[in-house]
Amino acid sequence: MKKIIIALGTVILLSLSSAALGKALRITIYGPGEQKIALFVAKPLSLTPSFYSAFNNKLYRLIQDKFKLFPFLTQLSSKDVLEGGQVKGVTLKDIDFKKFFLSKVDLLITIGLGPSSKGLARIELRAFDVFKQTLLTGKAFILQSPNQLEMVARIFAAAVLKKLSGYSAFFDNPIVFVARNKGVNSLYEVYADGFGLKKLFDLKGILTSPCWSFDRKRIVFSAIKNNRNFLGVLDLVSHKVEYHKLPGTLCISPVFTPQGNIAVSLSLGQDPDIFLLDKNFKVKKALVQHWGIDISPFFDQKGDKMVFTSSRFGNPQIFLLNLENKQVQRVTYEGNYNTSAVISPDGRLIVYSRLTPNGHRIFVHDLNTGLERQITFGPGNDEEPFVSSDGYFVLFTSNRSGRYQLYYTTINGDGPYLIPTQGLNGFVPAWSWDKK
Amino acid sequence: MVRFLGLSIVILSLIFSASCAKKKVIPPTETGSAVSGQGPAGQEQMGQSQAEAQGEESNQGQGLTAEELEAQKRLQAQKEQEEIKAIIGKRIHFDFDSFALKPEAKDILKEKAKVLLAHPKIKIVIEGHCDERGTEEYNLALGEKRAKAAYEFLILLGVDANRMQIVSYGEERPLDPRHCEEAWAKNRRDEFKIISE
Repeated sequence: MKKIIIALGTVILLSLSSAALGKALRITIYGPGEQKIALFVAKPLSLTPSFYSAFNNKLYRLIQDKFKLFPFLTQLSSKDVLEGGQVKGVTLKDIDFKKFFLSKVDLLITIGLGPSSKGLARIELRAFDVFKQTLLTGKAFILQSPNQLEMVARIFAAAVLKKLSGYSAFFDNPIVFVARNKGVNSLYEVYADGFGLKKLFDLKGILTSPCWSFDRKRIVFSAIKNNRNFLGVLDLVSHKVEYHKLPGTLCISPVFTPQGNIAVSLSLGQDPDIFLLDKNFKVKKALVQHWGIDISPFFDQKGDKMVFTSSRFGNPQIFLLNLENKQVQRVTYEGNYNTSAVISPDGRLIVYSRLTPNGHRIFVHDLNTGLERQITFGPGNDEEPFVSSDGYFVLFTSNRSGRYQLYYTTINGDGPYLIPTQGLNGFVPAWSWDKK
Repeated sequence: MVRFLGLSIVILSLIFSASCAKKKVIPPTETGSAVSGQGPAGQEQMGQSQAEAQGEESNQGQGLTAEELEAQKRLQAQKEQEEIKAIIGKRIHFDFDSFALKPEAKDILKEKAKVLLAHPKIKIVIEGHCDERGTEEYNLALGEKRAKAAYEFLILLGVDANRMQIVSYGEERPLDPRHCEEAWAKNRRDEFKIISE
C-alpha cells in the first residue's frame, strides 16, 4: 500500500500558551459515562478564494462519521447552531466563538482545503475549545490521492481523541479476529472504525483465541487441525506462521505475558491447568494447577495480576491470581456460568461474559469497589470481551443481528457500536497494546 | 467288406459321440448334487474345465459358485465392518456443563469395548463436543473432559490407551445447527471415529 500520506506539516502552530493548552477541554474516560461534549463540524471552506475541491463533501462526511464513534461526543447539526454554524475562515482569528458558545457547542471543528504544488490539495483540520476560545489541536496534510481521505480523517480524529481523553488506542491499535467459513478459519486485522481490514492467513481447521504480544510483533493463537491441538504463533515481522505441538491433549487460550512469555492452558493431567512456557515452547512452570478446568489466563500490564476461569467449585467462575504472593481470589459469585475474563491494563477492572437466562452478557467487576455492572444487554449472545489498552473500550462478539459480528462498547456500557468488517462474521477479537 | 466297414464307422462314431456327450455331464460333487443334479439345465452344457473348476470350489462353498462364495465373504466382511462401525460410531450424550457419563453412555461404551477388544487393530479418535451456549474456550476444555471421560472408561474396560486419541472441538461442529434445547442436547456429545483398522 502506498505509504501514508504525506503527513505533513504536522501540527499547526498555535498562538497559545502552554498553560492555556493545559486547561483545554478534556474528558475523563474513567468517569461515570455521563459527561458529554457537544461537537460541531463546520462545513469545509476553501483556503484560497479561487480553489474548488471535489473532495469537500467526502472529507466533511468522513470527519463527521469518525466523531460519531464515541459515546462522549454529541454531534450537533447546522440547525442546532446559530446562523447554521457558518465560519468565515478556518483559523482561530476567523472564528466568532460567541454564536457557538450560545449554541452550547463545546468543540468546533473546521476544515480547510487549498491548492498544493506537491499534491492534489492541502488540507487543514482544526479543533477549537469554544469555551476557552483556544485551538485544541490541528493537523495539515498534502493529499496525494482521494483514497487517503479516510486516513486524513482518522489521523485528525485520533489527535482530537488524544487531546480530549489522553488516549488514542481506538485509532492506533489494530484488532485481530477470526472469521469462519466452511471449515476454513481466517485471521483478520482491522481497526475499530473498520479501517484497514486485511486477512493475515487461513487455516483449514479451527483457529481461536488470538492474542497480541505486548510489543505487537507476534500473535499467539490455538489451532486444531487433523484431530490435534497446536499452539500457533504468527510472526508479524517475517509473516510466518509456526505451529507447535505441546504436551497433552489440549492447548487453549494462549496469551503473552507483559514479559514476553506465553501462558497457556494445557491438559497434562486430569484437567486443563495454566502453564507458563519458556522461549522454546517448553513448559516452564505451572501457574494454576487445581482440580477442575483452569483456562483463559489474562494479565494486567504490569504482570502482577492474572485473571482466569476455573470450574473448581463445580461451574465456571472468574478468579484472580496475585502473582506476587500466589494468592487466588474468587471474583464472581453471581451466576452459574462466568467465563472469558480479561483485566484492564491498570489491573482495576475485570470484564467477563456471564450466561444469563437471556443469553451471554458482558459484565465489569471493579476490584477497587467490589461492585459489578452489566454493560451489554443483547439480544442474542454477547461474548469474548477484550479491553482496549486505555481501559475504556470493550470489544466483544455478538449474534444480536442473527450472526456473530464484532462490536465495541465502553466500560460504562455505552453503545454498542458495530465494527464494519465488510460482511465477514467475527469471533474472538483481540485488541493490540500501545506501540512502544 | 464295404458293409462291414460302413457298420464299423457307424459304431465308432456312436461310441465317440457317446463318450463326448458323457464328458459334458458335470459330475456330482461330494458336498451336494446341486450343480449336477439340481442345477439349471444350462449348466449341463458347460465345458469340462469350467465344470471341473466349479466342482472343486463347490467342495468348500456348500454348493455356491466361487464368485458367489467370494461375494458372500465380502458381504459378510462388509456387514461385520458396518456393525463395527455402527457400534464404534454410536454417540454418547451429556448434560449441560457436565462431562459425567450417564448410565446409557456407559452401556454404549461397554459395547464399544467388546468390539475394540475383539479387533485389536482398530484405533479410534474420540471427539468431545459441546452445545453453543457456552463460551468458546470453556467449551473446548469441557469437550476435552467429555472425550477424556469416555477414553478413561474404555481404558477401565481393558482397551489399550495407545489405540485411542482424543480431541475437543468445543462448540465448533454442531450436529444440529438449530438454537433450541433439542438441538443442544444432540450437540453435547462424544463422537467416535475409526482412524485405522
